[in-house]
Amino acid sequence: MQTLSSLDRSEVLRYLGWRGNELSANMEDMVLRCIHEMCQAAKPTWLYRRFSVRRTEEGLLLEPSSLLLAGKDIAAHLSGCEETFLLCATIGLSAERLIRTRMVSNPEEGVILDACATQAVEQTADLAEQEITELCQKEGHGLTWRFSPGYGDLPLAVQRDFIRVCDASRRIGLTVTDSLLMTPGKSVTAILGVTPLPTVTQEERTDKCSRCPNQGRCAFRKRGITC
Amino acid sequence: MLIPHDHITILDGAMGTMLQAAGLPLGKYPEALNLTHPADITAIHRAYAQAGAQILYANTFGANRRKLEGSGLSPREVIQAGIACAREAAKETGALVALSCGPIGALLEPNGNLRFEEAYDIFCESVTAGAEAGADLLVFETMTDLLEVKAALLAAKENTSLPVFCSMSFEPNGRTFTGVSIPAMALTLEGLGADAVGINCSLGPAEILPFARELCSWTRLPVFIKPNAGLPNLNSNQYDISPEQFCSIMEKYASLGVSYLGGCCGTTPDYIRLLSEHLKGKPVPARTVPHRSALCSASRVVEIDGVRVIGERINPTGKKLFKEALRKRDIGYILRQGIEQVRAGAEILDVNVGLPGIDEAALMEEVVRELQGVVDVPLQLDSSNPVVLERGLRLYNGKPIVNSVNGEQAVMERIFPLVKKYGAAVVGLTLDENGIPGKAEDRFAIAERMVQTAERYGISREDVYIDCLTLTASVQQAEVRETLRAVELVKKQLGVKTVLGVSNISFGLPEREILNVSFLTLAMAHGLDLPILNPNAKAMMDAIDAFNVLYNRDSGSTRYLERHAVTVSSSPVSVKTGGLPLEECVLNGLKEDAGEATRRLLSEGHDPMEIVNSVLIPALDRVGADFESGKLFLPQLIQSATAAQAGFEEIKKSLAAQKSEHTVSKGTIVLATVKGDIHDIGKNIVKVILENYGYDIIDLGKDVPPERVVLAAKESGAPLVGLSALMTTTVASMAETIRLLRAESLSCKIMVGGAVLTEEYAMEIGADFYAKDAKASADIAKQVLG
Repeated sequence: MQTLSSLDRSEVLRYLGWRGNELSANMEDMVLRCIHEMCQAAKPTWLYRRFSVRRTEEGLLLEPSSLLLAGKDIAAHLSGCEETFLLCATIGLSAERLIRTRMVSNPEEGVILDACATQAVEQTADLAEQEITELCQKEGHGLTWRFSPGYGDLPLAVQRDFIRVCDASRRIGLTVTDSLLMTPGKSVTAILGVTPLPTVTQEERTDKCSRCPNQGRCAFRKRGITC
Repeated sequence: MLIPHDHITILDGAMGTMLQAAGLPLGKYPEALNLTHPADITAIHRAYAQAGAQILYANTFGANRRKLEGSGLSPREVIQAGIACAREAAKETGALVALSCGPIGALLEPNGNLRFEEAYDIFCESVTAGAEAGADLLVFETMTDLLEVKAALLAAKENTSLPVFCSMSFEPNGRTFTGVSIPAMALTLEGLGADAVGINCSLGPAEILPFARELCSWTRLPVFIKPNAGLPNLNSNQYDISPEQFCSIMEKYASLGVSYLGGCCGTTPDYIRLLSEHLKGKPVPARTVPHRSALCSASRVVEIDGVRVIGERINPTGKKLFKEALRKRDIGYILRQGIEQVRAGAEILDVNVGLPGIDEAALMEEVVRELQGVVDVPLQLDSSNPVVLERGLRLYNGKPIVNSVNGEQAVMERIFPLVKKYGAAVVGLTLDENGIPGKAEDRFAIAERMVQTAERYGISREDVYIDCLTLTASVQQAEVRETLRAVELVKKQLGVKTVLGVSNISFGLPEREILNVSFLTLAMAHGLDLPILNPNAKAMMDAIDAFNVLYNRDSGSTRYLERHAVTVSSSPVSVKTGGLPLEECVLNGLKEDAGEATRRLLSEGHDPMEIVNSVLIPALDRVGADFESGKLFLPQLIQSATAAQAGFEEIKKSLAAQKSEHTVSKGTIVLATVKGDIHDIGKNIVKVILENYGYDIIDLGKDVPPERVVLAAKESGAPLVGLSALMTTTVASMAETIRLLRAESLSCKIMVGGAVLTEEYAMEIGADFYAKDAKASADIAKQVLG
């Protein structure tokens, strides 16, 4: 079973809204302890499935499934891609239980653990993406960045079918509520296009903010950074 | 119907794999094929029956109303067609037909937002349809949440008379996705009356084998196993072992005493044919399952094979603050008591929420639901009211203890059926209509009667824990020894576990701990297994550690050394701060010091309200300003607020002692995460901050329907309601909640917050205030409530 050996401390602090002031030894220690605890609790798991992209009038049809991705943003994301990977990644329920318990007994640690879990699922998705990248590189292909349901004009409602075609509920325990929230909450779904070229450049990746529905109200951008 | 389990019965193989192989249009609803392609489905069943399968699982795995949503089909019609297909195929061989039910596909609370009752309803619909359609048995399979299986099993047992098989799927670490262990599954499902328990899917036969061995050693029920055709590759649909390899590993299961064998994903009639040729009808060797007294939550089993502490703190008796928390429905307070006791070493928690004038049944349900979301030790449900007990028992995720019955016939008749139905253990008090007998022999006689009666109800003596009752030394000194003698008699002659509430011994005498510790030690020496005590009392826990060393239970004194060896502290860096002014303590987030500093000020004669207004509040204001300017970040804000809270607690105690009219409460605020939303961390942060600023919070939790918010606002008359929503999808239900609050013309102000909200958006949906963070919510509260 996969584990995370550490979490990027500066990312954890960034999620917590830390703006670079000096941390007391006590706080520094607390953050490191929380990182350690979250690494123990998180069970990084992922799966991905490869589909052919067929362009139809209603949107992109991922064959052989019946999943349809509608909207101009996903079309732009996958432009020039004949194939795509759907990725589901989660760190499981034990991490959530840890946060829930700590929010009751020691909320200052609870919020740090929550930030740690956010970082843990990012790192999990990175590991999965790395695996897919290597697979594509062997074939002489590249990979686009991770485009998630609800981003740009791709409706979040696609989440339910996304998870179904990946059989993510049975295979990694990932489900979605009626209100389209993923459970476990610390999970990521993403669409990655297989490109003819080796990889996309960093510039293209930061451009994602221009399509983000959170534009103009993003706490990260207010502080001059991106998520 | 009895399905023989003394000879191996062959189950079928995968349905999904065969549907794919047959090139059927899979689409969203594979169960719809029962109606559109019945001949193909029947052909698959027939292939399995001809291969030797004696039980056919109908193609009904996802035939529940949630999974069929949007298909235009009802579970009933899909199930009827599915059972008919299997029945048609079974005709030639006489195979039995099972209704297969998989997981609902949504997580139950607290992991998701599916309520236990709703899960029960969903399963009810499916199982009654299965029974009507003529299924021979019901199978719940591929389950990962023990509470979901419990809902399914109760639905089956309460609404049909069919045999029920339950199997769960385990990951390589021996746990399901939700953390259920194999012994916990066995204890819980056997207790609830499953007819067979098993393991299916997720892994191949080689990986499941050790799990099956463990399962066989934890249950007396027949066991069934359906592994995949090897290990699944998560990223392709390929399984890696052949029918021959599959079958050769499956032979090992026969010697374990497994009664039913089949296959899951990736298996085909070829696998089942070999299995049938080699194993069908072989006698199943009898298993020796040790007699155990054990309890569990979904993830933790506690075996009573030594002294196990039952934490007594969740009980209002004699506790002012606890009573106040119950009246205010301050569940957080109760949860903290639970978490604290577990940290201190409690392995079971007693839960008593009885208080005149409150709805004990509703509160029991709520506390059990919330508590099992944050602690993993088994619970002991403590009430004399069977209605209260049943509400807790029903949604308890595991095997709990019921506290209690006594020797009175009428009480046993009320309580034992509940204990049996829900598969709990039970505490039996050695008293009856004539009171507590003085003599040990007479208490023993009552114990014996209770054990025998329990056995008549089908409750084994391993699950009856006898309480010989601690009498107070200051009042009934002569009877103290009788209690100890009774413990010894019961333990030796009845062979049951014993339980005692310890601290009652010292009531009315000074330095109670001296007597408590000594009595505890004596009681353990006389055979006490389950002391009910306050685990935060270090001397008591120490006495248990010592006892375990002296009675050679703690081999090599390992645990003792772990807990008592003087080591270099690896605990958090603690700065020695003794004597810091209160304001500094708050600014630096030093909780213990803040309490101490407040006590110091009080002892110096400062007026409690003056401390609040001239020290605590200004310190909090400074912290808030530093947070706003970016000098402090969120964990520091919370630390400071928590430190201030420690100060407020001291003030409250002092005011209560002076019977002062003053209160530190600045008014009531209702908080809720709106319907559909289960991300409540933001709301919880706001709650911590507001509480620590001195407001009383009515926390309605997450996924709260608009009507409940309205009701709480009405009943409490709170001047401020705070709502949180994380996603655009749930902001709609936030708007609906606001609309309903306004429609009722309540005078409360409404503040909202959440990741996708903005000031503009908040105004657009009719809120009075937008709280961009926790600090802003405190500013708003100050503006509205002062």
